Amino acid sequence: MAVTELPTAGMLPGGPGEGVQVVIAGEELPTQEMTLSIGPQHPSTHGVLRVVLTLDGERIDTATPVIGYMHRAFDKLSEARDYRQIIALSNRHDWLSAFGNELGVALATERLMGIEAPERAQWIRMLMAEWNRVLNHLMFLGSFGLELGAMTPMFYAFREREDIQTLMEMATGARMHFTYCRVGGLKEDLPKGFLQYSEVLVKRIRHRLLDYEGLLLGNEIFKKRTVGIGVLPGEVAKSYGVTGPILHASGVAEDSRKTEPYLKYSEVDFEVPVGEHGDSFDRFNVLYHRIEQSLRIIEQVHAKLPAGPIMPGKMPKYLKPPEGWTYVRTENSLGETGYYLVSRGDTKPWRLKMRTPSFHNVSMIPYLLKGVLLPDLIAVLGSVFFVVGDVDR
Amino acid sequence: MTPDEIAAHLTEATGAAERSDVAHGEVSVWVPNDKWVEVATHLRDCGRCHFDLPTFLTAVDLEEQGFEVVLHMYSVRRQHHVNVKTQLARDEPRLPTLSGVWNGLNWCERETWELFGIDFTGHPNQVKLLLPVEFEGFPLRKDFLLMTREAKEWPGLKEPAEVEH
Repeated sequence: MAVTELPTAGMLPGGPGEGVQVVIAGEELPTQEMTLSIGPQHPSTHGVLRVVLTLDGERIDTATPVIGYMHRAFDKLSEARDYRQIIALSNRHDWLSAFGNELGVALATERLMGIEAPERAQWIRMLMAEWNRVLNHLMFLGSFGLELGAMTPMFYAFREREDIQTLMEMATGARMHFTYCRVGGLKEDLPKGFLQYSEVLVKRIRHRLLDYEGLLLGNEIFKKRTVGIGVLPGEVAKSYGVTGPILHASGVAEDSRKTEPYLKYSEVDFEVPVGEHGDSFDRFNVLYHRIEQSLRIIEQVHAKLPAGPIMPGKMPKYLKPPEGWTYVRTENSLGETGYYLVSRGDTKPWRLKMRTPSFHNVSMIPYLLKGVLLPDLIAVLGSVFFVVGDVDR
Repeated sequence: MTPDEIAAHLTEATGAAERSDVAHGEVSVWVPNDKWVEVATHLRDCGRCHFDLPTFLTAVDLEEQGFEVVLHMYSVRRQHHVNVKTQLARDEPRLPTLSGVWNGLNWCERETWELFGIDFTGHPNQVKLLLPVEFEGFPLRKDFLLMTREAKEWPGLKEPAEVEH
């Protein structure tokens, strides 16, 4: 069933369990559909996403995501803010890829103003974006295992995340909301010892990734629960606007770091891992291999990082992009994060539309859950990697 | 296709483009309201365009000139972009839905409806998406005031640009 045919949220029975009758169904007795509301407070929804299911026995007939519990009006607020302030605002909604979000705002403003960040700033931005990607993916590697009943990967993931957060804190002073990007460049240069620690971490995490491989990817129980579950064909994924690791898992290698390289991605060597079947296992597998590729990019940045300034020599006191519009897309951790910026020559944007990957990825969930058994719901939802703040903005 | 080629192709093939513009390497094509679905279907079905990934659909408030609806499409196979735009009158803005052309625009249209008050006729499920059901008004219209900023322009002592670093 397409989303268009789904019943509206208003048409569903009022509360969870309402209208449910227990019927012992024999051959001649009619069965009755049951409505089950998962969330907004449910561990598998990573925050406050609610999914209303209609069940036919154990099988899911329709699934309707109900979103908006964390809507924070990013678009409206940014119309009342200076471009520098928007950077601090933009890294709040997707708390797992804060740097990737700031980067888009800075790039969009720079493009309209005709500024280019200095070489060194671009390389450091790339380094930070990739560390942020590793940070994000580790979270999902750990939590997906946890949802399927494996506790250990979560602890392992947090051990690695702690190291990376310490690293990020060295440069930015923050563990989650970095606010390290500036229009034109970066807040500060990297501190002493950062690159040495970064090199140590690459080796450490690459070594520890083997643990995940042994624990999950080669695990018989894990495979039984994920292989062939929640299959998403590439064509369907594209029609829903799905991007990032989920699209890659469906065999479509669309990655703007490759197709339209920004920063210095054209000067580093990396691959876009793709899946074959588009099932939950492939999505997890792609995520795992993306970490390896990010580590590869980080190593190349270490080798190629040039010396020089991190901000252009002279920046205007008031940032006033000339009248015009642009759309900047960046490959964020979970897919394409883009900013459609319309300026009327003021210090505040006239309109700033944030396009987030999680919003489009979650809009595809009704397709994926159709016909799935209830116990597989967790394996499917957990593999559609999303951050609820990123869905609701 | 390059941005200029896309603009030329759409003008020629659909006969609907009112004007086009290339800015910062991206093409915008303005079409009339009544050709909205026709142009979108062409984008999907034409072998040269082959737009298969709807990136986003949103609107911009142009005050006296009404609203501008923006549809951004990307083609994975051809690796090109297009922004299709159309202008709507301010009173009773209305546009046919594209949710039948691409599934991914269903939620985008619901969002645009609740935030701008643009009615997408024929939309199968035009109900509130991000806002609470009882919310009144269309928050992204310019005449919907952000009350905290009306009460006090900026709560800080100085505007950010005035702070000495």
